[in-house]
Amino acid sequence: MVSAMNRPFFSGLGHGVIAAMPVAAGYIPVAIAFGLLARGVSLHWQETAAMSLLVFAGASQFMALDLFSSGTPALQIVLSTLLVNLRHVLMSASLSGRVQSISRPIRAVLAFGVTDESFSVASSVLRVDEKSPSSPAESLWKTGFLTGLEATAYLAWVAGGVAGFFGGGLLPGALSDAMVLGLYALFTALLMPRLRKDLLLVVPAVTAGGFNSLFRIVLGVATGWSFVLSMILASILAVFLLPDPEQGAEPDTGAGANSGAAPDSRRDGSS
Amino acid sequence: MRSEIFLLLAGMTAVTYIPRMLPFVLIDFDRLPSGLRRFLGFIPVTALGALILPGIFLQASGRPVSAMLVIGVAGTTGWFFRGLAVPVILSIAAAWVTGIL
Repeated sequence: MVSAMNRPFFSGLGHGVIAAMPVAAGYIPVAIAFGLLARGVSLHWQETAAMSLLVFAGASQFMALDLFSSGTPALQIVLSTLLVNLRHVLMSASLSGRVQSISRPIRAVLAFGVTDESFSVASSVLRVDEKSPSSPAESLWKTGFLTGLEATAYLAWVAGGVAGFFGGGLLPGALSDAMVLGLYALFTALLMPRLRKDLLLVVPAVTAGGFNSLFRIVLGVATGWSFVLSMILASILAVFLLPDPEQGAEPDTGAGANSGAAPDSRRDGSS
Repeated sequence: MRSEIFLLLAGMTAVTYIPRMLPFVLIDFDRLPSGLRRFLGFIPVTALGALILPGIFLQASGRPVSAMLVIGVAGTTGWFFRGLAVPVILSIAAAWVTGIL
């Protein structure tokens, strides 16, 4: 009885763990570098582990180490962290449309693991909830998927950080550099099914990247603001310039590969 | 743990979790105006664009060929193959080889 009820959850969990593998592969070298750097600015290993366990945000953690080592007051580090994290307001708001069938307390737990990478993967796999109430099975599948995806990425991030603290350069330099670039391969590969479905989406994607490059490199805008402004401007332009697919409907309902209907009809294997 | 670090971590935890949590929990998506829903529907695509550019070229600073190879390999394989493993593994391999050479 119980196992039959939980089957969609565990099915989702398995898919989430598999979907997290490329994310974990990209996190590990970054986390190792973080651990190494944390030791370099004389953090204790417990403090290093605690930061990864509690914060779970790569860009913010590196920035915090940098500011901490230059003697910046804690309050200022916290404010800088807030700025870097503002983009997650947009990402969580967007992803919320795909998790409406999950109860709010569970959403509050799952929100902890919303990173650039888990957001990107989740929003290409999970479909937008229909207006009609979704089946409990679908809600369970989504809960399982997000749990597997986020927990696997989290584990890689925390373990990599501790390993980097004690082990230092565990990976050969060239391999480590290449694995970090793997995160950008992940983002590019996540974009492709969307473009294949609607080639016009290349416009908002390139516009956002163009704005972000302009703001950061040419105008020297702080990374946090640059990111948020680029996403907002490019998305607003898309709303006005791109054709409206059926009044108010989502322009993208997923990456095609896994945006199938009910959980039981999802394709198995890779995501 | 030193108390100054504890306070720093507590603050960082709050300003990282709260921006992720509030919209995720509070938004009643069906009640949003349709224009705002469309706007949020474009966020996955614009986020990916802004995550890739200019980040990949800054990350691979001094190795623009590796950066373009990663975009090219991941873009081509991502177009033709389902799933992420093939594009990511091939891109890492391509970047590794160009890094060694």
